[in-house]
Amino acid sequence: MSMLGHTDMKILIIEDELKTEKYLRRGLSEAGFVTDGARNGEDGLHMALTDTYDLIVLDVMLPGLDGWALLQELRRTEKHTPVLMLTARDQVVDRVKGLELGADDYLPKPFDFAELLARVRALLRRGKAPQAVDRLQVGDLELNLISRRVTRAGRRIAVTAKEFALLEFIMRRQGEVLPRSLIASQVWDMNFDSDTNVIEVAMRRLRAKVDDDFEIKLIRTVRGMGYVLEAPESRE
Amino acid sequence: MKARLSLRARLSLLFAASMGAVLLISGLLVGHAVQVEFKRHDSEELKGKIGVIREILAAATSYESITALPLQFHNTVMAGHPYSSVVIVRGDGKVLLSMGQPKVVDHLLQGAEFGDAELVTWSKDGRTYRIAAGRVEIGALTSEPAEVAISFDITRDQTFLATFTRLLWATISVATLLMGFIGWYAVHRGLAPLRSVSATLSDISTRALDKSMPIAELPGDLQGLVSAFNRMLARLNDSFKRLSEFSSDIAHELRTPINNMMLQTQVALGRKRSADEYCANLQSNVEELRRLSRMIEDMLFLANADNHLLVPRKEAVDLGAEVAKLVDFFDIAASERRVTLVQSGEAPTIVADRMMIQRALSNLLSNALRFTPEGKSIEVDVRKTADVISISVSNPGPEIPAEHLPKIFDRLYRVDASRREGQTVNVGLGLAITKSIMEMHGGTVTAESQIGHTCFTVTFPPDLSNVEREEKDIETHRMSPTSPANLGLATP
Repeated sequence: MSMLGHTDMKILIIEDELKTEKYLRRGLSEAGFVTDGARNGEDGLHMALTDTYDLIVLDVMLPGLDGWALLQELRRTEKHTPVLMLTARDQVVDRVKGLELGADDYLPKPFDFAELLARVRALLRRGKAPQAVDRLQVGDLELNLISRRVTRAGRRIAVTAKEFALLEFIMRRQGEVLPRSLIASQVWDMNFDSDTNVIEVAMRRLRAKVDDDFEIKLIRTVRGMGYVLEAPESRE
Repeated sequence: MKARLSLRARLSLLFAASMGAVLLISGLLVGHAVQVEFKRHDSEELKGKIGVIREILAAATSYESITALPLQFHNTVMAGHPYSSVVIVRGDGKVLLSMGQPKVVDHLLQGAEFGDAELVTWSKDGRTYRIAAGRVEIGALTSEPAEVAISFDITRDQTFLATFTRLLWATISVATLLMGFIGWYAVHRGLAPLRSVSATLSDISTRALDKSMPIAELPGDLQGLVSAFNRMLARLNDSFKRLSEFSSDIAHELRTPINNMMLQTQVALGRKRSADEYCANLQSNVEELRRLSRMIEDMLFLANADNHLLVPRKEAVDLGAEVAKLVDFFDIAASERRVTLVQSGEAPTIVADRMMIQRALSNLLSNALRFTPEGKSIEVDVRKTADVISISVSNPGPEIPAEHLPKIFDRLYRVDASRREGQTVNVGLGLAITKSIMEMHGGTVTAESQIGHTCFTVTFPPDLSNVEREEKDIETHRMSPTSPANLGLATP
């Protein structure tokens, strides 16, 4: 996967469950982040306070110093590192408590890794002004936001309004693997977990228009995770 | 914290206190009555004696005969009253007669009681006397009237009275105390049914929730309490049964996908395969796991909804726009089978939880999509009348048999018992979730199905459309971001 300009973004993962910590670190480092891990609250807090991280992924259920206390302590020392909380308990109260104590996002288990990745990226993007551009370009694919036209290698591609919105979304997030749930919520404002294959169909149709007649395929399916649009030279 | 008295203590104390009060009043009355009676008797006696003396004096012929009177008095008039005293004093002050106790006589001669019609009680030197006085005529001897004063020594009576009173109070105190104990014991015995009910109730454990207490043998006042308890037990039992059924249903639902994954993975590992095959296997597992994850989310949602832990957010929801978004979304999948989605009707705005409404409606739409034959269309109609705001999703397709209709909104219920339609795992929670969401908004969801045509309708109560009033609520809630409603928590 590409680095996406996240040059050396450091993420601290504080999680006591062995497999969870291991696979989170692996997944995130393969996504281009530098990762550190801690298996209990005390170590985690120590690392968070002594080192500088761009994001902390924090499990609520930790032995010893629990996630809540850690978060409180972190905020008390005014470390404003973004925190994404994970929990196996999903009571509404927990969600609220987390946000009140200063967490930036909250993800109940079991979670989709693609979802977590998307949220990590969203949290890291915060504070940076969104691109105010009038055109997007990936490879030879060009999207003109003023004239609402799509061209590839100079050839005009006819798309519906929704297809345009979809293409704009994945182009703005070029290089990021986007889970179906994220696409559904961002492009269609559909916030439920659907068991229908709408996104698959929509992406298939879009690809038919954008990729079929061209040798280089820009839209790629990442099995089990989602879809990604990226220019070929940025691929490893 | 005030300690609450037990029923037994309370009743015993009340009983002892009221007995005590009654005995006290009775004692006072008796004591008083006896005093009064003594006084009355003495008065009568004294007055009687005065009357006799009057007669004797009226018949007196000479002053000398008067001086002989004391002996006569002593023997006759005053017989029975050994310590009595008499004085007769003429109007001009001359003492015509005096007899009896010297100190008393002295007192009587002072004439304090003369002219007094009432009985007087007087004490001196440890003895008590009753004194009565009266006017007498000496008959032939003088026209001047004279006063006679008689006194009885009532010390013995008073002693008796004092002893009597002491005895009375002693008896009352003992009686009260005794009543206290008897009362306590009686109450203890009397409350036996309550204790036995209490013991039986604590016997009824979770394992025997279907037991109910028989109320026929119970005293009347306990019957109300116990039948309320029985009703509560029945409700608990019902909930418990439903919960156990739900739990075992969930376990069954989880088994199949887990079994699939295990089977698939184990078979794949059975021999060396290509990277692509492994990849395909993993991907298939991810899909299955996603489905399980979704099922868990849905179950949690229903469980939270059941326990009233979910309160819908209040926001202005344009139903027309929401339906349009859904139609737009599902149209993509629908068009793969040449099924069209048609929206009609109005676009009222209501106050509701937007995400929940979206979910409720999407369940209906995805169901409709599943059952609509190729080339047909699904109609979504939004209506607002005076009584109700409704959204109906109708489609041609196989009929749902009438006997299943009321049950399809139950969890995990499936019309087709073999439980699979097509490839997608239909867990049967979708309609239950829709129902739960509609109930949280005070609305309903119903289904109609005839040959070739099925229609699901959700309704909202009409007051939900009162956006201005509800918006005020939203405003006040917005001012406090941690207010319960904003956080989706139940308000107490």
